[in-house]
Amino acid sequence: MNLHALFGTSFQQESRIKTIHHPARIEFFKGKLVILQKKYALFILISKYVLAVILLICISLMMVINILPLLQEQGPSLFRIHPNTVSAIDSLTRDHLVEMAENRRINDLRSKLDKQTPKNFYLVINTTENKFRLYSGKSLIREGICSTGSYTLLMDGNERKWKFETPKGIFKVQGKKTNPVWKKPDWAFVEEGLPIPSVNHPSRFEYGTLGDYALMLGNGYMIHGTIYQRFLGLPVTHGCVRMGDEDLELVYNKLKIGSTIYIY
Amino acid sequence: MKTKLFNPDASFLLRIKKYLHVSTIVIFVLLALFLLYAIVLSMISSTSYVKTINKAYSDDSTTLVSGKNLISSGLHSEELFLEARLAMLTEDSITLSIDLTDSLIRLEMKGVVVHTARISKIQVSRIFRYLNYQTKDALFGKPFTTGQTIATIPKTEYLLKKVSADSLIQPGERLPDTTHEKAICFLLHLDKNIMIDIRQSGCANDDAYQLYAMRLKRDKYSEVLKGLLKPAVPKYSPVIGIELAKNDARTIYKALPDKPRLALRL
Repeated sequence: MNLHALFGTSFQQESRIKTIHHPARIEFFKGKLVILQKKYALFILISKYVLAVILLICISLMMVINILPLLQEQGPSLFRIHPNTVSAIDSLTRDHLVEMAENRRINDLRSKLDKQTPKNFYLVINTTENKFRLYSGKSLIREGICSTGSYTLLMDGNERKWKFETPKGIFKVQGKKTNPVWKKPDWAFVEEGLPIPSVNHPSRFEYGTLGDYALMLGNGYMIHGTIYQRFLGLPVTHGCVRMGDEDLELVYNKLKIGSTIYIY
Repeated sequence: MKTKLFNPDASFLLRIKKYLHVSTIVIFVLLALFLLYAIVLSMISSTSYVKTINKAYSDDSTTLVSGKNLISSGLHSEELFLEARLAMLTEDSITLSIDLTDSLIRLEMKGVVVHTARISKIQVSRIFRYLNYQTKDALFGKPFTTGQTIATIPKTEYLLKKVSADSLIQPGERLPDTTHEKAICFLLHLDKNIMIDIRQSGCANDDAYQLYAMRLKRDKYSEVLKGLLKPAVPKYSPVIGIELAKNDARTIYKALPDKPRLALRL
């Protein structure tokens, strides 16, 4: 048989190689029969397997990526075959977007609300329980007992009335004093059954009764100390807020003029 | 002869007995019908409330945003609650915010939380489940205004101290301070007929509580009776019941102004 006629010139060349280099296999290449060397054949064989393995890994990875969210019910699958797949994806995406938008809106609203809380020191007084809490921003610095208004209605012979009640609301520290002197108002004399002296009479000035410090809240109301420490925690005052010595010192040092006091 | 004389009387008594028997049955049937009518009316009143309120706030021409579905309802209720709390910033007095999701009740002053209490028990009328989305948006996105308040204790009690003309102190006449003994319960009538019933925990055996509960029941039944007599669908008031520790209940009641505003999150 004429091999030249059958396979062309390349056969001649390859046959020459065959005789010299011990070919490993014969393959058709571009319509011609080619005899490959063992090393080339091995290379092609390995590369085919490698390609197959890479493909397999890719497919597995894609499946894992798409199945895991399905299992966790967190996201759509690219391989899910369902007539409503597109709309389901749309719906989930939309829900997710809405949820994100709502979260953002909630955060905005929260921050607006949080902005109302003073960043510096402020005092909160509970007149029902006769307790106070000192805050710095949202963190509680100290809490303890205090004394607030006794809810007494004092009436004198001239039908004058005084209500000894701590006012509720938001107040600002209007002034600070150390070693405050109490200028006794009329009701203090009425209560004690004493005649009311003139406005600047020496008997109106009392030293030491208000403790070491006082914070002015306006309209004559103050936060001050007391010599009657045993009454702390009870509603016994004429409207002012009495605090223990150590608590008062801390409150006095932390609160500045303009600091907020919430009384409820 | 005796039997002849006696017989008419016996028949008369028998007739009376029969008549009484028939009239008893008639009265019983009438009462049963009346009771049935009352039950039906009170049932109708709740459904009518839902229908009316849903109709008042639902706008059929606008479609709901599909995102506002069950997935984000928790977030949405929080959003509404925060909006209502922010709307209360304009209030000068103390406001109340009730978060039933987190079981918290807070006293606020210009957005600053001054008192927080944990709610130990919550009871909510089923009717709230049937409110549609738009109604909930309209109801809970804004603060409620309180009208009448019923309570077992007074808001303030004063010790009356009278001093005579000759400046001698007379013994103080104290109004009995019963707030520490009595059970603390109070009912806030909100707009849209919603009622918030706040009670201290474990007050079931307290006399003050019994009186308070009786008053609430009396009010409820009188509304049903009014409806029966008119005749009209009786006014329905969904109730949100909350139980707190005694100190918290007292603090909250005493701190609140007469007609407080409040934000509510279901």
